[in-house]
Amino acid sequence: MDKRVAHIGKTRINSIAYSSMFEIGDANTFTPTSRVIAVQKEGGVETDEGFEFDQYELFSQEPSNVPDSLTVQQKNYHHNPNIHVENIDVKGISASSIAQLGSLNHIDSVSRIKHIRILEKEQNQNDLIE
Amino acid sequence: MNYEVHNWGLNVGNVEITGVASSSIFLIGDNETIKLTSFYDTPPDSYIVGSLVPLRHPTIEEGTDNG
Repeated sequence: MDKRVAHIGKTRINSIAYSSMFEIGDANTFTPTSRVIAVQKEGGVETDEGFEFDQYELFSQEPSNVPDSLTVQQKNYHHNPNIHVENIDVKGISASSIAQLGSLNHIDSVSRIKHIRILEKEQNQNDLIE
Repeated sequence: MNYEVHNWGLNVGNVEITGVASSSIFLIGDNETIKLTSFYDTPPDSYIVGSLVPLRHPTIEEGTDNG
């Protein structure tokens, strides 16, 4: 398939993190993976010991099967070979994501995020209204 | 099935995005295949919409210095 050319005026991106990318130009494939265990502990976290990936099912689970999509014969007619965008403002790109100015043939991205909260004492809803 | 796409002119002024996260994409250009997978596990508290900030006691009169 013919690819169009992107013409961009101005781009502003604040931050990029964790297996993410900002790309100017064309690419063929993009296959990022990110595995995250985010621990929030009351009083602060001193060590990452005891938080191994193999401990949590989330990191070994396979996505449920998506039924095969039917084959579609697609024809593209680019009557105008250009794409114009004047201004782009992105605050953040994170966890196996991408912002690209240009064409990208194939994308296969995976992100796994496990959040853990550790509280010293269970908080009671009624304690708050006093 | 036959699928025909006609791309006429594409002109955009401003794009403003807060976040592209957890296996997501923002693409200005052409593409053939996209497969985005995301596994997410978070405590229920993170999903509760609303404020847990203590509310002002209903009996306190307006204008009273609460400090």
